[in-house]
Amino acid sequence: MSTLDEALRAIRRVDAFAARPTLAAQLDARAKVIATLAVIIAAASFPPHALGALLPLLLFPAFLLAAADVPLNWLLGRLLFALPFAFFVGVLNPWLESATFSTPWGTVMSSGWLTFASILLRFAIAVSSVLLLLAGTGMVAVAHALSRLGLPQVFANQLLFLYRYVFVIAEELARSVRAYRLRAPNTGHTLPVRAYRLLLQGVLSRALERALRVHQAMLARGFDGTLHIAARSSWQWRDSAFVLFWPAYALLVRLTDIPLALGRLLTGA
Amino acid sequence: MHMADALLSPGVGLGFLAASCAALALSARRLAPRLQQDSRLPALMGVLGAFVFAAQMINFTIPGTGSSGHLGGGMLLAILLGPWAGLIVIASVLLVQALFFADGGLLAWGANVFNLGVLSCFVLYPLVFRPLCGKGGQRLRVSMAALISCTLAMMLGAFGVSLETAISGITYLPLAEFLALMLPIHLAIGLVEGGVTAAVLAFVARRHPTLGAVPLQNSAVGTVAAFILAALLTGGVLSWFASSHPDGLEWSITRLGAEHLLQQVPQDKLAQQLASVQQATSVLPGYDTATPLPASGMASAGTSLAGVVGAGVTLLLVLLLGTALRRLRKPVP
Repeated sequence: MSTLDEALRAIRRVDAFAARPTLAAQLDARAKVIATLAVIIAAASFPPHALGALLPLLLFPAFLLAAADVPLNWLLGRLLFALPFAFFVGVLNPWLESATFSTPWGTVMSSGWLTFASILLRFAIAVSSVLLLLAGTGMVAVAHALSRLGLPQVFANQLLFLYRYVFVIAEELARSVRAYRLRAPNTGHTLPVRAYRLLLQGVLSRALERALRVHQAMLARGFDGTLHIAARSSWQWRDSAFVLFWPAYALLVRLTDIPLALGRLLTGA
Repeated sequence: MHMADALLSPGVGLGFLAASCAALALSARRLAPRLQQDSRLPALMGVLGAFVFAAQMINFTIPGTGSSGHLGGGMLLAILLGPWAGLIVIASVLLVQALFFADGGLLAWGANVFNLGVLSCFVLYPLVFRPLCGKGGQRLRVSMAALISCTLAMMLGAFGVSLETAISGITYLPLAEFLALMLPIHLAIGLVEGGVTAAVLAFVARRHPTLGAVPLQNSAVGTVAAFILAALLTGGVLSWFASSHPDGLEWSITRLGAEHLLQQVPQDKLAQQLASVQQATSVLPGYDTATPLPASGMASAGTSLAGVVGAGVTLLLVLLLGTALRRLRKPVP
């Protein structure tokens, strides 16, 4: 199965999650976008060596995981899929940093291990929050929310158009790649440049022809330049509570080292 | 190559988010008259966006390196649709990638739109592609212009990722080493992408002469490009001197022999509290790119027993709360 097939399967799976009547789906998408951004900004604002102080922010993705009723295995799989860039940029830190620190059990380690672990923790918080935002909301609702939050309407329309046609175009490209691989079974995971160019030329040509047919069909249905979306939810008190609680919680976590305070309380240090 | 949330400081992330949203707003405004005149444009944008999204999932082999790359698409979109529509389309592709595949991130979306969209559409398209392409639209000139501008777009994108990572200061990877890792491979990817883009454009010009025509340049794009170049020059070059030389006030105080004033801690209690809040929430404290390890060791979990115990208990609490929430949830009718 090609990367493209896997990507399409992943998109369909997220769509299926978002279509269910879960607690997360009932919250207004704007509230979820604002809260997610607040938590990610809070995580990003910690100093590079912060580790324990970041941990309470995991509560946000844990809440979304429960509210969106998404399997933990799915989330872990997606996290692993997205990990490489952050991992490879951070993994050199233990060798690049000259500073050291003493652990409670007496050994001395490079402080780069702390920054590396901190990068992985930030990654887990940010990526899981974004993935769960979509799994509990859906692309159409997110596009609608972004438009209502002030992003240009033409951008929201573009998101919806892209989302509608990505399956058609991607399936067409996947079919072409599959056909090529059946005729050239000895090629590896990537395509030779010549084959890549020819595939793109063919698929782009068909995509452009499709765009003209789509345009004709839209005109026939009275398209006036704007895609009209039926509002799926209206702002309610629980959305206000959600959008007030999570940014406030993120600020509290940022200003107070909760794990250290808890540890001192328990150990009497 | 996408920037990641985990490597960005909020100052850098929000700065690029604001810049990219402003560029999007400008593009939407400039595109509005064209959308009214050409009703097929939304369909074309949607389908081409889907095409670039799908094309990015397929990798090509980079000859002689054993590595692989994929289409960036920013230049192709700018050339086929024009810079305003091109930016909106590539921004939408990047957002869908960020949301579905965590490729990039929500905070990093602005940086990615800037690296892969704004630089291609507002800098390279008007300043490199258009002048090289000329007005005649000769095939050889268009191909050369596409090859050079795509290569530069890939290099600038990689440079942007490296620079944003360095100024965010989350990782200690030095900029020079990071660039030495990033630029050669992206030069190779850019050359292949440029060749593929040139071939695709030539094919489109033959098969779809009306769609493949290079859109007329709007003079405002040149102005925007000049502003962005000036901003990059100011931020990227002049700011290197910011941390090493004192500002005018500091210089004057030093010359007066009153350096102690620069170190003086506010005595007022309220001022001290505000200073500590500012220190805790500052997104770029003192423009430092890397915060040194606190003298006392770790401010949180790491060196102290209390920190380690606290971190363990916090994790346990998050786990318990998450499990409890999952058990408590009920299907909504």
